[in-house]
Amino acid sequence: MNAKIVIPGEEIESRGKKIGSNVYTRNGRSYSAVLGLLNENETYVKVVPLAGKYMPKEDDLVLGLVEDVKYAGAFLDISSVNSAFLPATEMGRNDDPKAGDLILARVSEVDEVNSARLISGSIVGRGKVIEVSSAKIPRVLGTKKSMLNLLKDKTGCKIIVGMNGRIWVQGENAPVVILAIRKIEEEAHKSGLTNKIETFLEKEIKKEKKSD
Amino acid sequence: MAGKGNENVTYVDKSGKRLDGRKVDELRPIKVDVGVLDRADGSAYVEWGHNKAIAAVYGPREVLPKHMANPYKAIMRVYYRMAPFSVPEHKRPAPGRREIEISKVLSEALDAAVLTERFPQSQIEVHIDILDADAGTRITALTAASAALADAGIPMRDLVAGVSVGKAGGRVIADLTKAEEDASDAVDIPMAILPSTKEVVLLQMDGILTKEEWKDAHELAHKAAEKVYNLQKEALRKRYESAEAVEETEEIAETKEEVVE
Repeated sequence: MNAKIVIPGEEIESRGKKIGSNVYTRNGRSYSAVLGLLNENETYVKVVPLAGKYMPKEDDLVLGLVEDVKYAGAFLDISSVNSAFLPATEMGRNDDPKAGDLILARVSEVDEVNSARLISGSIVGRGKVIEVSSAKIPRVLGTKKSMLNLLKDKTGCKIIVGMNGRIWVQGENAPVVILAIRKIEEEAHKSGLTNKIETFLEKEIKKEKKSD
Repeated sequence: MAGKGNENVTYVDKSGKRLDGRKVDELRPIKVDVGVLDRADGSAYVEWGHNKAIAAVYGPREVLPKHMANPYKAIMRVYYRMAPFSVPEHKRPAPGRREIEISKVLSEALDAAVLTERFPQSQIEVHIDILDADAGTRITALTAASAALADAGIPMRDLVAGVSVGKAGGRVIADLTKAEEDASDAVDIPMAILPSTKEVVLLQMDGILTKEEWKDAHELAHKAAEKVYNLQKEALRKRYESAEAVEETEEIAETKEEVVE
């Protein structure tokens, strides 16, 4: 994935192609709208952003922090433009959210001002939470979740990845997972990442064992 | 600030050199660095001659107070501030008339570039601090702000590239320093464009020019802005390409370590 880096306003060759996200047209010519990687084939062009705020999409799993609890439900900070509402009816019977709790929920709908409504919420237990840019989440997951499975298998940790950029980790090797995710974050725009992370994890776990 | 300077100074000598040795169309040395602040969504640092500006971008995020929000587009809030130590005489730290004006014109220039209609009911904040000033700080600030917005991943039609042109000692020159701005006949024109369409998004003028002089100045500004644009592009690319170079050296270091083992 050593794609070309494009700058906002840079012209993109799009003759006879479908225009994907983050590309805009003016007078029949196409330009990139963000700083990102050019992704194109014979039929379409789009730009994958390298940074940016999380914009909720239907069906995304997100990890939200409870900001405020009302009778009808809770407002969660999902590190987006607006906080998202999770109705009380969509929470587990025994879940009693309080400000500061971490909740895993699914986005059911997004309105015209990018506010999300959430469903199927459940409080997440003890663990470590880190935040990465939501633009980098696809690399943390990998193709068909290959990267996530690698992290889970090598370290034996439980990991929940919220599409909004919050990642919850629980287990003995949690610090190693966090180091690995930081490395993915740094090198998200480069190719051959899964292999690199595999060797990195093996090395780190060996180190941990030695120090024990 | 026309009228302050010394009538006897030659601002452009016979060989076409200026007070600091530059040619009439030459810019001061410019350095653009992107992603300098960890906690901001996007940031940039620009050195333009003796000018130093740092810009931080936050957002899009919730608008407070809520009545300021626009249901059709994001609002751009720009805070241009000069540090008390940025000028020879201590500047009072409270934002003054000039800073409020510059914040306004910069927010309008950036508003023309950002695709604000994608983020209704939200705001994009740009905080710019001038650490050192030597004429042309609003353009330095704008250069930093535009690079910081792109770094934050905010959708934009184009970057905003600007430059100041003007007149000193009867000659039309690019990128005036404080000494040149103080010439008795000085004219200062900060101008910013969207490079892909050549649309003008910021244009102010202090002083008087003839029609011919204005034509020259305008052409000069377009050419100079193009140079600034290239520097901004380069800085944004470098942020992601330099990571590659660092990694290669790291790999070399790692293999060495293994040999020692």
